[in-house]
Amino acid sequence: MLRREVPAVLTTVMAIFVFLSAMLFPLEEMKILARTDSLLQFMGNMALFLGGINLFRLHSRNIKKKREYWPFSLWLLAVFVFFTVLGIVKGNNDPLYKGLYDALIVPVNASMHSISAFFLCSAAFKAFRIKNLDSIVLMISAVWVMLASVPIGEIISPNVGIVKDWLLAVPGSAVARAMANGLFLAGFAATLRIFLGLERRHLGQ
Amino acid sequence: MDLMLLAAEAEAAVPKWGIFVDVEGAISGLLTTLILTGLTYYWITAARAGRNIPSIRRLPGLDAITEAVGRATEMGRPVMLANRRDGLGDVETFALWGYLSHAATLAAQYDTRFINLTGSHLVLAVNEAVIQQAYLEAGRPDAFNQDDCRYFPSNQWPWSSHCAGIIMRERPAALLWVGSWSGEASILPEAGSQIEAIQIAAVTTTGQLPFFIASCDYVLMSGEVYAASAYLSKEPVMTGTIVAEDCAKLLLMAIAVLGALVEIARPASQWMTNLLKF
Repeated sequence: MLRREVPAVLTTVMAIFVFLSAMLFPLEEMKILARTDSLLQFMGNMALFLGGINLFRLHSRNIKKKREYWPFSLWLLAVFVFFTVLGIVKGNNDPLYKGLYDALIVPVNASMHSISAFFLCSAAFKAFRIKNLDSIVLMISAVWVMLASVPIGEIISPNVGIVKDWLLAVPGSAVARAMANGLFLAGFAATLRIFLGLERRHLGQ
Repeated sequence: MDLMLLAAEAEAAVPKWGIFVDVEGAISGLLTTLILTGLTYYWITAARAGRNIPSIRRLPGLDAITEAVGRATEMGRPVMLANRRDGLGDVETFALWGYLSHAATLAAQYDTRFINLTGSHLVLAVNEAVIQQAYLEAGRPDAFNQDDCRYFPSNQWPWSSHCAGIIMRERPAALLWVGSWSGEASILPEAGSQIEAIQIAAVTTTGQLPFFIASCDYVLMSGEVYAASAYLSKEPVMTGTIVAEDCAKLLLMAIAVLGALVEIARPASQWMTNLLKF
């Protein structure tokens, strides 16, 4: 009862409350929502704290028992302790703290982003393989859009860009909007199912 | 000065559409909600009364989950379900739990390892409970492994490399991608293709759909993503909500056609635009 019914009732009550608030007042004026947001933030921070302890315990055990990949656990804990201490002692605006982050994370992120080009090529190769009429239309449109997006397209003819703009603005946007409408209505129906207590998978039912 | 005062008086008053204060779209939003709630109530009542209601068309992507878990069992490799950026309050997350519960129950029944990776520590707590419940319902609570419910911070590229790393190391035979995605969609399904996993995607972000369509075996898109719970439960009451949604779609199409005709006939009036802002 407590585990199943109380969360379902709370969900419905809060849904009615937020819905009526949205109809009656702008949501940003509702102080109660700011309070629920700070509660969520508190929960998040507590989870982060517990997560930190758990991470420490798990990887300490890996190192102690010399499990597979234990040097990575050692490295993780060293970085974890170093950044925690540095952040607490110097603050997160310290040049060393920020500099280390920028020197490590930013280049790694950029590398990951750049390799997506190779994955894109591999996906494009599969998508543009001519199997039927649909794939012929897809391939011609894709090649046209790609051609118009690089300088050589403009050199061939200024009309290449006009056709590309038409492809993106008319058929492309029509399909995207139809899908967005479908998504909205389906999302709305899903919300209503939760609101009415019909959908309870999140409560383990 | 007098002229300025006259001009100010002559200026049309700004319409206040909210019930008490100015909230754009409050009334049309209320009407939309009431219409959809009314339709849903009608179809749910019809289903409860045992009247015939239209059935949901076959969704091959959802039927394929059983096939994918079966294939993983035959190959002795795990099943993995991933979701990166949807948080606890997002409607996508509620859809995710439908897929999670179904796939975890199948994995438990077939005695196949089930891995879940998420990018939200709050969602992880619920995911763990949903998976544990699925194992319990399948009669195999002992097979539940908490270490296979994994969390990695949702920063896009670190999460992607972590996820791709799990794919390469654990080599799941079935991969399920659920929820909203961004640029990592260009990498992850391709990583799945490289290990020849059967891939099913339920994607709510239209911009990333092409990547999933190119690499995955089945893709659920647009409204199909949220229909999973109703489709999988096969309960007439749940199906009623989908029928109501389809009726609303027909209504929306009628409004679109009417709006287009009015805008063509009287372009300056902006009658439909103003009506929808109401």
